[in-house]
Amino acid sequence: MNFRVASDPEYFDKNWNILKHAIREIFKCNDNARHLSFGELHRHAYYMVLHNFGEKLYSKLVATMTSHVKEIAKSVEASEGSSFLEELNTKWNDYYKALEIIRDILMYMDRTYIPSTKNKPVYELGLNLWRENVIYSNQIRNRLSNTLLEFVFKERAGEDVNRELIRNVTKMLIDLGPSVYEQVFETPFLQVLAESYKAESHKYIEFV
Amino acid sequence: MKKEDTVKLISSDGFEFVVDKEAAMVSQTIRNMLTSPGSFAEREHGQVTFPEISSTILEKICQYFYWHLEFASGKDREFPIEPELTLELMMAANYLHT
Repeated sequence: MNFRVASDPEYFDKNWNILKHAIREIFKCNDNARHLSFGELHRHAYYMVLHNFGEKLYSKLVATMTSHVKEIAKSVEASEGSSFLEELNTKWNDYYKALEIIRDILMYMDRTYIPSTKNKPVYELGLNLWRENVIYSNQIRNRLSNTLLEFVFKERAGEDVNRELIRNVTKMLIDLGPSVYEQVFETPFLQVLAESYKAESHKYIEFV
Repeated sequence: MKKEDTVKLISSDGFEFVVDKEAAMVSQTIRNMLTSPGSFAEREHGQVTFPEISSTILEKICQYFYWHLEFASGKDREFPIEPELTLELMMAANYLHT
């Protein structure tokens, strides 16, 4: 193996552009990633970290991922009516898969640069960005809570609902951390449930 | 040996080493390459090119993969390393996370 010293002032930008382009392709989750070489991308990231560009690489990664997550948030916010949960679920599945790939490509950064800093590893970073920008977006958070509750009560009323979808979305909330699940689903759910049982029990009492 | 169970590792000078996937995946880097959810070229073709590892070093590495598997299953043999290879081997090991 040869250590090419990165004396070229454009070294970082050149290599980062290749990685940035690849990360965008990966986020698109289409077959375009097929012509990418894992080895090549991993090697670029490896040498950047080796040449002490870890910090720069990390901050560029944060910027790229943040802007992508914000775009997703916008498209989920814009989805209408019943397609909202489906849109959120599809986007999450794609995002999660892309996140795993990016983590794998940048494994050397996770392994050598991250432990010496207070920064979060790639996987955790990805989950945090999703939580802050998508789930906790003003236009999504309450809507997500309400839509989930609506689904649950529809099912109790005997309507056919897509259980698989609810399962996937609540699983996403759990993946994002127990507190996210509690805040977005569990607490409001228990509250509404308590009220509905109260109302129902009152009905019976009046009957007697 | 079925083709799906093997992977071809290609050195900088063009030598091809066909090894069991199980052995190659002793390297965490190669493991990621072959198991990452994306459909990357490496996974499609079952081969990985190392433009920075010479055939001498890559051969040693492949021997190490098998030695490692044997060692893991309880066979403790000597693994000889020629002193002149150490530096390059160490750099390759760092890269391959082995």
